[in-house]
Amino acid sequence: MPTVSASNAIPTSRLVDRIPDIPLVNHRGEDVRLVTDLLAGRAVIINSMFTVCRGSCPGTSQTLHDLRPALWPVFGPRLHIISFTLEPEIDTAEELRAYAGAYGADTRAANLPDWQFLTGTPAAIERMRRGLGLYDLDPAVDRDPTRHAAVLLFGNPDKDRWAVLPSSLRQGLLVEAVRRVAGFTFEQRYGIRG
Amino acid sequence: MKLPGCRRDSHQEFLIPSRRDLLKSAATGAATCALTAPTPEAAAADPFAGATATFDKANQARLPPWAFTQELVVPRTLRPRAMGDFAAVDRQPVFLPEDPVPLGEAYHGIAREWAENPTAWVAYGCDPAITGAAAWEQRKECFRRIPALADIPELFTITPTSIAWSQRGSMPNWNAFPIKCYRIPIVETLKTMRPDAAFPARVFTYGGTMPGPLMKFRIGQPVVVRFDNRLDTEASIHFHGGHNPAHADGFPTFYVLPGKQRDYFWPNILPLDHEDAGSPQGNYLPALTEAQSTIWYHDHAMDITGFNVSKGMAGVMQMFADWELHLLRTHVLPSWGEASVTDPDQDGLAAGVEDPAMPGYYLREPGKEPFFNPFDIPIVLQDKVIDRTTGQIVYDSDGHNGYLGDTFFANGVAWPFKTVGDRKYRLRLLDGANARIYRLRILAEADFIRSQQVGLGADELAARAKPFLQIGKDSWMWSEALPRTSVVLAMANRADLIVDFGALVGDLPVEAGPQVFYLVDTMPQFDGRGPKGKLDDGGDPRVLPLPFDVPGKPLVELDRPIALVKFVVEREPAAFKQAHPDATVQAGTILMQPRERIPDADVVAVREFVFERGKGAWQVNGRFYDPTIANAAPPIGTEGAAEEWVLRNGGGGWWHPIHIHLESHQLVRYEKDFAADEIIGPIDAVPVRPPIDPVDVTASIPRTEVIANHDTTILGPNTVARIRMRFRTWPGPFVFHCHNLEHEDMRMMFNFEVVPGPDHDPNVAPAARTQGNALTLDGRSAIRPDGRVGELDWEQPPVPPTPVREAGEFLIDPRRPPERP
Ligand SMILES: [Cu+2]
Repeated sequence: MPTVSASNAIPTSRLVDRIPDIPLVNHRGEDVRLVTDLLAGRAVIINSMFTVCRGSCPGTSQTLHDLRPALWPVFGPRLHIISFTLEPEIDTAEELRAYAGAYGADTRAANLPDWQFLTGTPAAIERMRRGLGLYDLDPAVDRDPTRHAAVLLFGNPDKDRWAVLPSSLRQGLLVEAVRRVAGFTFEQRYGIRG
Repeated sequence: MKLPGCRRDSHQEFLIPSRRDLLKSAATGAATCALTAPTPEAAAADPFAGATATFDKANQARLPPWAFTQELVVPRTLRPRAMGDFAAVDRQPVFLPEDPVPLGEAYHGIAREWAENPTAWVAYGCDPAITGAAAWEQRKECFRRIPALADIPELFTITPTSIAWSQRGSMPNWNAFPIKCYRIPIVETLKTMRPDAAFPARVFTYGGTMPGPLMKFRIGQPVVVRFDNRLDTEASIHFHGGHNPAHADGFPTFYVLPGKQRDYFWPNILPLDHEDAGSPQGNYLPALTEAQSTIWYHDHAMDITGFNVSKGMAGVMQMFADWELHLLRTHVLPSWGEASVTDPDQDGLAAGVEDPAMPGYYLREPGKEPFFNPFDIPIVLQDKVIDRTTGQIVYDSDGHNGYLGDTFFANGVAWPFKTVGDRKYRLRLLDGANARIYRLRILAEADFIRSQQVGLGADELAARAKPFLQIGKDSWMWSEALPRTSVVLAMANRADLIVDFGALVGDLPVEAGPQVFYLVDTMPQFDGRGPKGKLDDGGDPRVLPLPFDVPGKPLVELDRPIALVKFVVEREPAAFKQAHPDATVQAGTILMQPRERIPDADVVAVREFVFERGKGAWQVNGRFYDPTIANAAPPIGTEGAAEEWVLRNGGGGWWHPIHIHLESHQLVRYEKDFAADEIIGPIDAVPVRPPIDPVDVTASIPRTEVIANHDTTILGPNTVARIRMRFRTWPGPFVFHCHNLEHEDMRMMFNFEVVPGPDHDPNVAPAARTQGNALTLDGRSAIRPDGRVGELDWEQPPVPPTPVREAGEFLIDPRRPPERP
């Protein structure tokens, strides 16, 4: 039973290794790539939404809005928040920008985690949604954006540490979980020195 | 949805039916082409194809050409690093030279479960008025001497059809044997998961093996395991199906952080039951029927259990009660005679028993390995996704609904074979998968081949399945051996089986050569939702949600079962048979004292818990798990007090195996609302409440099983299980949850906090929190001086401390900590 320490030659099969570098557009109108620009090297919180959602989206967006100042002192700029639309045909970059404005995220803030709202071709969005596991087993539910899950997918893509939690958990629990699962350092993760 | 004109008349591929074939033909007995599984062509047309991984979940039952070429590996038995009585090992550096930290120093100080004396413990001579560190000191004395429980010479009266105790309370209990001290590093190891994988996988292991090392000890033998976490993930080790203190039970937030270690202390005592009649030992006597046999341990860390377990963090343990040893010694159960009932390290570490080629592990030889028994084979069943390109275990959680794999493992080997003799074997099966529910059968080779070529109809499958015996479920043996031809195993369930390979080959001439049998899975399950009950429509969430056949409504089965393990039966030479007599157990053999139904009069509280999908995740009673609050606070029962819990499935086609920590439970009633199945719509449908026409199907389960001990009970949709249990011995926080690990991680979990005294009103909201602060004493107050809650720094705090004001409504006044002596 050797414990192998020098296993660098062995490739990984992390989520970021398996998901393509999907081209997307953010609410600022910038072209971005899913892996290169959004996932690699960062801690992320991801959710799905659409601008005219009257169901869970406003609550989830408010949760993310509130999480930004809570997580900035821990992560600084290394944490990204990604909200991608489930209605890419309707939600253009402009629509998303207006939506982001309601949560104070239309422009970059100097002292808050970056929060990007993403759209793209329907195929790109579909592929991302599948790749991230944000879909429903029931085709009827899955086709209906108004019934999407009110969950946050968060993690550290480089470390391939991920978790999914309901966005309605109270903030203290979400902060703890995001720190622990997505953090880079021991102190970030557990609040104490290793 | 059925498409006409798509019949397939034959299967040209031997042994490799596709998932579609399985689905279709099981439904109708003839193939239709109605499913929508993605085809390789469709994948190739994907404009974003080019991912680096390849695996094949859609064809999960397809056998590779190399199937059954690798031998089943039975996990090796780990040897304690030190042994001795309490004084000899407590606070001693027993893991020298590489680990100077004294035993207990990697513990968490004095947890509350050590610092309060439950009323019932007067049986041990503990004084409930004494608390805090003084209680801990007193307990060390009390538990070491239980004269009334020792030295009863004749334990049993045995006849061919019965076994009886000459005197209740004669089991050795706490500290009857020296403490076994193990040290297990949790490390990343390389392991080749499939022969066709390009690289070995990085797996998370206990001690370098997957599954983890086997550990064996006696009931009443305390065990300390120092888990040394060298992974870059937090861990919490759950002793599944045991009866042990909260801080050593694997509560989700009582972590072993990366680079840290933690001493888990498992006293392995029996809980005490109240006896009205009284006895020389007093009114509290060890509950003999609670003695465990087949235990497993696995990761239980908050939010990431599914990931950690899929990567390999699971292992098996065996505990031996006196009467089980008796059944082994007398060859009622398969055994190697005296070597199967003795532990060379029983009184302390012996010489010459360790394998020089595998330091730290026993030689697998009679007289060297404790309870040596080649006729007793633990088998951990798991399925995992293996990326052929990289060889890695891929955690692809199917939309976070439940992780299913494309590669079937037994003891970490993909599709293994095992050579056995023509005699009775004990197979201790464990469903160690994240989300797969198995229905296991044994088929002869010819029947299996036929099933793969043309399929076996339901009647034919049932008729051709080979008989075996079941002698236990979960941690516990049953009071008698029951005949079976199939067994349903949900996640975390164990099935203790006796398979008579001698009888299976009995009427064949010796010249026929080795005979082959397959352990197969006939459960039609294609996603994390659970097994399907109707196979004619891939999108229909309605299932027959029972883990057993009901007359007129039997479970649907795959007509082309999934093979898991191949058994090759070879004739044993006569001399070998002479030296090692076959086991005598047969259907109806009495194995232990029957359990008694917990009477209605003992039930002091009834609680209902509804398990359902909500907001795209999973809930209990409409809430998501919050580790900082207690959702129930059952008191440690005195005078036989018990609780009845109503476990209700909220519907939507989901199966939820419900696991309750700390205590075994007894099934009282199992209800199924068949009518509600018919109106259930999409997955997120509101559960059908009140039930339309609940039918009690308890009678379809053998009474021996109903009344037996369970630690995990399956709930299919529109099913209600009523269970009863007594809360004994250990105060403190424990969890109960769905054992679909993805559901558990997405918060289908609740806390129950056992409170120590009978004076607690079970109808009053529990005044408890479980973040650790209320559990640690030694003079520290529940709210720390710095105004924060959370485990204390000296205790390896698992979470960033939460400001008290943030805990808000959840901050209920904690109980007053005992005075510091
Ligand atoms: Cu579940």
